[in-house]
Order: sequence, then structure tokens, then C-alpha cells
Amino acid sequence: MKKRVWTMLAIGLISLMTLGLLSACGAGGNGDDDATTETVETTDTEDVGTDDTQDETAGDDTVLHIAVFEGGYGRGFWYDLIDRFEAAHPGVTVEMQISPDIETIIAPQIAVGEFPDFMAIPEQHAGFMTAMIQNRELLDLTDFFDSEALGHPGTSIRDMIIPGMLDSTAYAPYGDGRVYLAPFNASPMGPVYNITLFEEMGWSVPTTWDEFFAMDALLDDADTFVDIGGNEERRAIFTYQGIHAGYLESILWPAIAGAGGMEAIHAIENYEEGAWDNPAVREIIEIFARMGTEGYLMDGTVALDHTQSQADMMLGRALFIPNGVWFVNEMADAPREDGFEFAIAPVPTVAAGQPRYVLSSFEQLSIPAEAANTELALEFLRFFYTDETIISFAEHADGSLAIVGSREVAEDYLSPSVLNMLRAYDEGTFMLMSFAPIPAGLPLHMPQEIFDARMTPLMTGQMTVDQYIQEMEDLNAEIREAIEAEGN
Amino acid sequence: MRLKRKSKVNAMPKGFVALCVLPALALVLVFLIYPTATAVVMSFTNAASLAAGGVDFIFLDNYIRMFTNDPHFIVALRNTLQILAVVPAVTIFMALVFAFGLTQSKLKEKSVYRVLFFLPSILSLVVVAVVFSALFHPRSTGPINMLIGWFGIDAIPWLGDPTFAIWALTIVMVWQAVGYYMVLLIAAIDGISKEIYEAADIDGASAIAKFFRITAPLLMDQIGITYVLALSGTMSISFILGRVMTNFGPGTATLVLPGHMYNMAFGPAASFGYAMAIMVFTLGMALVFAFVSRKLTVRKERL
Repeated sequence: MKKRVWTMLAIGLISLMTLGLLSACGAGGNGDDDATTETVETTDTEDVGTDDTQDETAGDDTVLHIAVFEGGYGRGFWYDLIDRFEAAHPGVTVEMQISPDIETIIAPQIAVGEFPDFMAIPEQHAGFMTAMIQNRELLDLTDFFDSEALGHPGTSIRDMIIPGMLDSTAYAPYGDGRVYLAPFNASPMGPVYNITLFEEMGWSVPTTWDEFFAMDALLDDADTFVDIGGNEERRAIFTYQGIHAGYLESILWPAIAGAGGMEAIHAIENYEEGAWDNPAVREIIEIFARMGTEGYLMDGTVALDHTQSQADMMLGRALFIPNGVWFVNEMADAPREDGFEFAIAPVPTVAAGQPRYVLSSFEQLSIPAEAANTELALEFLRFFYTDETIISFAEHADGSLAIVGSREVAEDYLSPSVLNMLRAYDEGTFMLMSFAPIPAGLPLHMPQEIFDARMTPLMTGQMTVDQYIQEMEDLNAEIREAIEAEGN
Repeated sequence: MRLKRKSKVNAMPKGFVALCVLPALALVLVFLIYPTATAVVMSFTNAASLAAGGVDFIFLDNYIRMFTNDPHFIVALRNTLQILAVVPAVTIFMALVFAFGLTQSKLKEKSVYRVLFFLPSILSLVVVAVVFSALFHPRSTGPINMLIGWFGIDAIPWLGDPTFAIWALTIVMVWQAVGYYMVLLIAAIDGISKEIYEAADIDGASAIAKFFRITAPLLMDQIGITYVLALSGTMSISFILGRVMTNFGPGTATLVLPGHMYNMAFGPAASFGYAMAIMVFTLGMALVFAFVSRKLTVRKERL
């Protein structure tokens, strides 16, 4: 009996070793497989490249691997960009991996040391991007931005980018002025309203919070009620995406910037002591609490998801909802009030005359420092910042790039709704908000703490303003401590 | 001669069986044991992402943080324990009652009920979540709010209320799982000899007496097994429902351990090591519960 156990164990061990060897071979083979699947994925663009390239080895040297997060802007723009880049660079082949779930495709490849040459993956959509920034694994792009732009002799690429962007933590994460991420698009976010309704009612968009709250009284008038399925309903002044409280960022940050200036925002971005326990910030937090506890929110808001709340707002149940330009496409099929037309307002201010800000959504482009073909990736990035790309992005994705004058260049290609929303920049000052990196592995993410974990409790009175501010200060203290510990 | 042949016969299948088992064993080792062991190792590091380099060992720091410095973990643990205390027990009890009813009653439309009760189990969980989000709609026109409205109760924003949200999810979890366990238990009840019930009928036992004195005690082993299945099932359902119906909110009111783990590992928090520590703790907790519940039901069966 005992003997048999030993025999079985021995057989087991031997087969395990064989399996280990097999799997090692498998892993080696896998690398090759990857290349083939990628080729298949982009056959349409691939063919052009291979036809031009007679020599196989030359083709190998000039393959650019790019990884793209597929968001609301779709794929058409990227296919067009690749076609144009390949046409302008004979012999070069671009192989693209594009998916809404790009993190699950790319992270395992990076884990075994296979870096894409170029990434269009925004930090907020992929934890591994946060990790790469924390670990300083991206290529320094500072010199690139100081080099000359294509088609604009004598102009640096830096000069093309919307002023202030490259100084933001979103692109220069380490606070030393060096740029590691490149701007992709830029579009306004903020309180979206139905401009037709405002015109019909003769309302003007509130510029101060007092005006905002005063507007609520107007809604008691039965003439302003909305007819939904034969029911006359009183409109509410505000709603948000309920269980996805993160959307409130497009109100919170511009409101804080308006009350406390961009210094207040920078203090929060950098976890400074007193960043939250600041009279200007407190005023804004009080406004948020008031909005919820004093009945300005649409009924049931806190229990709705983004689709439900957005649909309600478009039906006329609420005047404002925080959102961005993707709203237009996202809800393209949703029923809406007659004549509904999107517009974004700059966020109201506490006192009249304070500057009004518009938070911009942003996505990032980057090049891994360990990428095989950084030279070609930089060439691709240079190619990205051209007027042709601005037009292509408007044409294929109805979006606006983070380049000065994008809107004017692409005016004929953008839809009226998007153009309307982009006008928010005419009335308010462009701003970005992005937290400075924290030590790798520290299980904290400030937007999650600020919005998801606490904003609804604050607005429903479960949490007081003092509690909210104190907890933010405590979290900041913890992050500061971790940063100091890492520095030592 | 005969003896020798017998031993040969014995030896052959054992070697063969071992050979047959080995591929499965190897697969389990490579795809289950090895990744789990890796996860345990990662739980002692500050890994930010699966793809992160430069990982440091920080030993028990992640585990210490869970209990001393992470209020979300404590909330998630409390919610998970609450769900685990309620859902499997209620589910199995209701499944048992339905199974007993459907096997013992003389209802003509028995097979229809059987299909109806089982239906939720074959629906995609995301579909279930979306359907119930609509049923629990916060406005007074939401179906459930209309129902309570008839009794003069004001509309409740179910999924947006920190007290009710977790109970709303609990109801959905039970609704979704009851049919599945009912089918398992019907099969088990069919295995109980008819004569026992006939004898009870002759003795004039009521349905309730038959349920508590015959069905429940004789099925204790199956109940134990289904309970363990329900424990692990509840864990994963709580994640899907929480993510779709409430995004683990309002605030963190419906945050569960797998949800917290997911946020930490794959969200922008990028704390894979910490997430693995939560995973290891959750796994350990589930194992302890499974072990204890098996122990309890097996002992009861012998008494």
C-alpha cells in the first residue's frame, strides 16, 4: 500500500515537471502568437504596410505597437490616424490593440515585459497607469514638447497645447515641471442644461449660488411644470448621477476654484495641510450639503444610476445635471423634452464677480520608458498634434483636441450640440484637476473617498460638513506621511 | 494463482486511475493552487498593479491596515457578515419549504411552479440587477413604492437609503437563489422513502409536523451541503448586485468585501497587494464558515 502511494507521488512529481516545461514552452510561443493576433486585428491597415515593405526584416524594425482605450469616441478616429501615419511613413506598420477593457489586455503583457510603444489610455480608466506613474515608468516628454510642431514652422508643440495644461499634475505628475503624459482631448464638463427651456422661460443661467438657489422658487409656478405622460410635475433644480457620485467633480472643483482660486485646487491636488479646512472650501461643501438636505435635489436622485438620472433630466424633471460633451452621444436615443438642446454652464460662484471656472475632461497619451520603439512612438505623437488630426477627431468622434484653436479649425465638422457645449469656455476659465501621485500600493484614491464614499452621505445629512472636512484632512495627513516615508 | 491474479487486477486500475487523475491535478495546481499561492505572497507586498515593477515586501502591513486604518474595510466586513448571516439561511429555509410544498402537495400546476421558481437562476445576474433597480425605483411611481403606497406608506428611495439599500439587495439575493436550491432539495426529498410519509399520514401528522420531523432531519446532510454552496454563491452575487444596483453605495452602505477588493485591485486606487490581502482574508473567512457549517450539520445528523 505504502509503496503505491510513493509510486503515485513520483508519477505526480514527474508529470508536474513535464507540465512545467510544457508551460514554459507555451509562454515562449505565446509571445509569437500575440503578434499574429494583433496583425489579424488590424488587417486593413496592416496590408498597406506589408505591400510597401519588400524586405521582411525592415518591416520588423518599423512596427509600432499602440494600445488604445476605446471610450465614447470610438475607433474610427484611430483607424484614420493610423492610415494617415502609415501613408506618410512608407515601410512603417502600426499594430493597434483597442478595447474598452484595454487594461486587462495590456497589464498582463506589461507584467511579462512586453510594453506597447504608445498608449492612449487615460489614468482614470486603468489602475496600471496609476501604477506606471507612481513607479516612474513613462518616457520624459519635456524635450519633445519643446521641439517644432509639424506644419507649424517656428512653433513648438508646447505652444500648440492649451495654456496651463502641461503644468497640470495630469501631465507633469511629479511637480518638477517635467512632462510625462501628453494631452489628448479637452472638453468642458459642468452643469448641463436645456438651453431651449431657458430661452422659452426667459431664465438666465445663474452666475452665483444665491441665484441658483433662488431659481428654485420660480419652479413652484405651475406654468413651469413639465408634462410627463399626462402628469404635470414640478421640476427640480438639480440632480446628479446618484450612485455614481463622481460626476459631481465637474461642479465641486470649479466651485472651489471660484471661491478660493486655483491655489485652493493645487492645495487639494497636493494633499496640503489645511487644504480642506479652508474657509473657501468649507463654503462650497456647505453648499453641497444644502443642495441635498434643503430639498433642491430631484426626488430619488441618490438611488438612481447615471442613465436613469440623465434620462429624467432630459425629460425635464431637473434643470441641471453635471456631465460632459459625451452626454450627447451617450443618450442619443433617449426621449427628451420638445426642442431639448444641450448646453454647459460655467459653475456659479459664491460672490458676484468671482471668476467662473469650467472643469475640463482630459485623457492622456503616453510612451512607456521601456518601449522597444520610443523614437517611432515620438514620431507618432508629433504626427498626432497636427491640424489634420484635429479635423479627423471632429469628423470621426465629434470631439475637440487639447490644441489651441481646435474648435475653430474643426467648426464645420462638429455637431451643433457639441459646439454649443464647447461655448462654456467662452464664459468660464478652463481648468484641470488631477491629484499628485501617491506612493505605490497605498490603498487610497482621493476621488473615491471624496465622491463615492462620502458625497451622498453629506448631501443626505448622514454626515456633517465638519465631519466631511475632518475626514478629508485626516486622509491628506495619512498621504503626506506616506510620501515622507517613501522619500526617506 | 487466484490470489495473484486478484492483486494484478487491483494494481492495474490504481495506476490507471492515478494517470487519469494527474492531468486534472496538474491543472488544479497550475490554475488554482499556484495563482492562489501567488496572491497570498502578493498580499505581503505593496504591489500597485499586476503589471507593476519594483514591489517591496511590507509583510503584515496590509493586514494591519485592514483592521486599524481602513474604515471601508470594516464597513465591508460588517455588510458581508450581515449578508452571510441572513441570505444563505433564509434562502435554504425557503428553498426547503418550496421543495417540500411542491413534492408533498397535490397541486396540479406543480411543474409550472417548479419552472417559475427556477427561472431566476437561469437569468443573467446583471439582468436581475437591472430589473430590480427598476422595481425599486425611488419615485412614488416605482412598482414597489406603489405597492407600499396602497398601505399608505410614503415612497422610499430604496437603493439610495443607507438603511434599506442593503436589505433591498438581500431580498434580490434570496429571490435569485431560492429556485436553484429548491431544485437540489426536491431531488433530495424524492430520495426519501414514500413509506415514511405514508406512515406519518396514517399517524395523522400535519404537514408542518412532517416538514419539521421528517423532511428537515432526514435532509440535514443535503441542507449542510446546499448551505455551504449558498455561502459561496452569496459572496459572488453580492458583488455583482452591489456593483450594478448601488455601486456599493449610497456612500459605502452596501460595500461588500469582494467589492472593496475589486475597487482596490482594478480601480484607480491601484493597490493590488492590499486587494490580495482582502482576498486572502475573505477566502479564510469563507473557509472557516464552510467548515463550521459542515461540522454543525453533520453532528446534528448523527444526534
